[in-house]
Amino acid sequence: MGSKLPHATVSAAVAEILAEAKEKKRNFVETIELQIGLKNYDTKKDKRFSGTIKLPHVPRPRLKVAVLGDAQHVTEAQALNVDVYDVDALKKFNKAKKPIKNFAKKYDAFLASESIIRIIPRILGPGLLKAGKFPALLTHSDSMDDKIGDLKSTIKFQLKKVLCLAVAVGNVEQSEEEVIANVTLAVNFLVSLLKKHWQNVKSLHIKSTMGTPRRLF
Amino acid sequence: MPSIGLQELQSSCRRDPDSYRTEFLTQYGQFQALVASTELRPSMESKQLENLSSFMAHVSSAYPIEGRKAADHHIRLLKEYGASMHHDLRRSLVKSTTIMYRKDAISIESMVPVLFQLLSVRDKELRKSISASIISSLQHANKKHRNEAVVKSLQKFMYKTIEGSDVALVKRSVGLSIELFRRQIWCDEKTANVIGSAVFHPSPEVMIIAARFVLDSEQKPRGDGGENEDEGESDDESDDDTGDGGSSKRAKEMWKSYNLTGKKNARKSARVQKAMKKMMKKKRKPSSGSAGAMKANPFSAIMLINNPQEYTERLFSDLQTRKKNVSFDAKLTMINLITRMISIHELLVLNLYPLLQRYLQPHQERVTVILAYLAQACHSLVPPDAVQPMVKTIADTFVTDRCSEETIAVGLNSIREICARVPLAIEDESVAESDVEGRAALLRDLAAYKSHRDKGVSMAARSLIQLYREINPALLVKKDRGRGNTPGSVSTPKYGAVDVQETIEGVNLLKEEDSGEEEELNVDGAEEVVDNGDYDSLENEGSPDDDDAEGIANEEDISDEPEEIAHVANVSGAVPKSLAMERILGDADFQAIKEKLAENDLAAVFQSKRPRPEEVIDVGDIETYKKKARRTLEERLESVRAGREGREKFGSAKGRKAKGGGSSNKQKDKRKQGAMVLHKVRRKARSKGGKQPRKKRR
Repeated sequence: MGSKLPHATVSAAVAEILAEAKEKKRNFVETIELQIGLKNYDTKKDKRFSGTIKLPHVPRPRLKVAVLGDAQHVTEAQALNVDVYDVDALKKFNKAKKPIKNFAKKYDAFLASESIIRIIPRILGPGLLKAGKFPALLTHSDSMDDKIGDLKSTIKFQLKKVLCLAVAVGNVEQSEEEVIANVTLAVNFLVSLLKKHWQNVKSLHIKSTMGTPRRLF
Repeated sequence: MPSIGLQELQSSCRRDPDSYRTEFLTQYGQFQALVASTELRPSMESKQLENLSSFMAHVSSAYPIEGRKAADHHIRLLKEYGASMHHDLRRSLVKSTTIMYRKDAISIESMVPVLFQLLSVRDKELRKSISASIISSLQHANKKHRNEAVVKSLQKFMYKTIEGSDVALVKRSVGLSIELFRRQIWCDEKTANVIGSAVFHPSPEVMIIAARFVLDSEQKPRGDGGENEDEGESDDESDDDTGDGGSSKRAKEMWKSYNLTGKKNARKSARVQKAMKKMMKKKRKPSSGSAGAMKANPFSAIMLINNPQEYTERLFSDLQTRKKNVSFDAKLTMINLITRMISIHELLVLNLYPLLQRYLQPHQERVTVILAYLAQACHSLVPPDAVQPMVKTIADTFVTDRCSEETIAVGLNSIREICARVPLAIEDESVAESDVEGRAALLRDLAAYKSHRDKGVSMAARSLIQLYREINPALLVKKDRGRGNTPGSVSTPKYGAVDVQETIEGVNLLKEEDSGEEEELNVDGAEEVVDNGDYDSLENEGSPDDDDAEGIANEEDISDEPEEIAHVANVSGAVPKSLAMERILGDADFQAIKEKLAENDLAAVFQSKRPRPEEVIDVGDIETYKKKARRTLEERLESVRAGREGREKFGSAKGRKAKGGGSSNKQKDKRKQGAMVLHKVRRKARSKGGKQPRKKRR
């Protein structure tokens, strides 16, 4: 079936971006970002969409994760060398806004045990939610390592005050196929969320952190 | 008759400014003198100055230098003596100032603040004309392009007044800003936030106006003023429509064909007219929407509020502190705004719930509205232990056998709405997790109302059961779970769990169908590139259609064996590689997925997820179904009489209406005098009667 965006365009753009990053190496690993502009989207009529998807290849391997755990998870996390906080450490914040904000800033994502997560709104207040970093649920049956890996490869699409979005879909150390797979899945997922699918998409760009943006659509 | 002389002069000056310059200058001198005398006694009525001011306004484009000076005089007069001036003079000065702006004698930045100040004057007509002229001149200013500097300076001025202390002025300026937002002249984030911040104004009137704006803008971008305008426009359009436009043409044809064919009666013609009306309406819609759609902000004001958490917390503390001097309605509006903010921005304001709990009594005034707000304040991240006491209270006070049926149904409906957002709210936390029976005791109690004799109650209980069938069947008794809903079929809801997808739902169905061909096609395309560039483009253009046809053919094949698909879908679901990662899906693909999901029973499997509950709750969802009481005789008779009005009498139309085409000769003869037709009758009689005797004679 005819798709609006040929596979060749995506692969060409990804190849160019990877080549450009290789040519001028930076002191850090550049992230590849997908930027989306929407059109004909009336939030008064249509629902705002939001969705999370797990990409096949980890786009942000250096994501900093902290675990807010009960006794069992504390020991597990220490074994894995992951930053961990127990209830007492959280209670020490005493609901003070500034330190909680800084705490939220220090990490990119949080995991919390089942017993902790339900008291987080009470002991930490809305600080984590406000930062958009409300913890993900970690049960005793999940393996913590897997869960952290999942967290690193999940991306979230959510419409805020403007009609454009940006998500990290890869990094320049990945192979071309990996980036293409990530980009393709992300685009497909986003378009599936939209009410009128491609008719709601105004533009698609990909770029690496320091590179020039390339228009896909 | 000085004004008539002035009008003549006015048109002459505009036609030929140079030759009438001296006359103009004398009038200008007089104008200046009158201005000076008015400055001394501003409250005096002065018809002459009114006439001269309108003259100056109209000729200001012909004599730009003097025109500008005259405009400055206007501004100064209005600014300094506006409040104490005679009302007629004030009105006419305002009118001429607006005209001068249109003639470029005055800038909008200097005009709007002065006019604005006059909004606090106690003169309703004047205020109306001022707000109309401010809106129209702002609209005019933004017509060609948006002059950011002007907009910014004016907005700054406006916002300053909103933050001021003069209640009347604040009220009017909030109203004006709201109108500007609705007309999409100023529909940016800043305006929304400034109007939103007026909620904290100490005056309850201002608070309510601002709160209503933030709430309303969520639903439809129109208000009282805008509505009237819209209606006016649509009426105009409907008049125009009859003349031109595709749909009106079709409607006309419809009417013609109705008139030419078939039997006519009242019912048929009503049906045709209804269809025609519908057709017209359809056409009207997009045209009215497209006018302001270019600049329109796709977000409603409530979504544009900065720092929603802090805003809502402040609003909440406001609600608590000003509790006493605010009416109940105003309080409800505030609660509505707070809960709407919570639902739209997913906020945590945990102190709100105990406050709302106090209102949860069956005899409470407008309790259904409060229950709707409570449900609105629930979203997936609200901790269940905050909502559980609410549900418990509702169950205890509303859903007991001693309450009326209506109350029970309202209680059940509101519990359903809350639990749709916080599924764990109905479980008893104090009971151990392994003891499902104990945890679900409340739900099972409520579910027992499904066989209640009142229809409203049983419907409410069934809807609650239906909800838990989808989100957590384990809590229901086995009988209520429904077919296929075993406790393991749906993962039990957990607080904080996010639904992370790995692929797009239903994409596996697509893979089965066309991935192979797609690859082939790609290969073909690649070969073409090597062979011949010209053919390549042609081939590509043609390919989607071919592909579609194949896709449809395949669909038919597949739909015969739905079991097989299910099997394949399961298998390919386990494989990490999916079509969604290999190529970008087009609109046609999504359409195909939708069709497949609908056509197979698999739809049920994939759509097990309930759609996200609405952010805004309608009170109608909570209010109960009511059985209509039988109408009394009088009511029935009244409706009968109402139905008779304006319709024709039933029965045969024969004799009721004159036949078309005038009267017949026979009828005319009857009206004629006897002498005129006598000879005719005689001749007829003779010819009739005469022939026979002649024959006889023979």
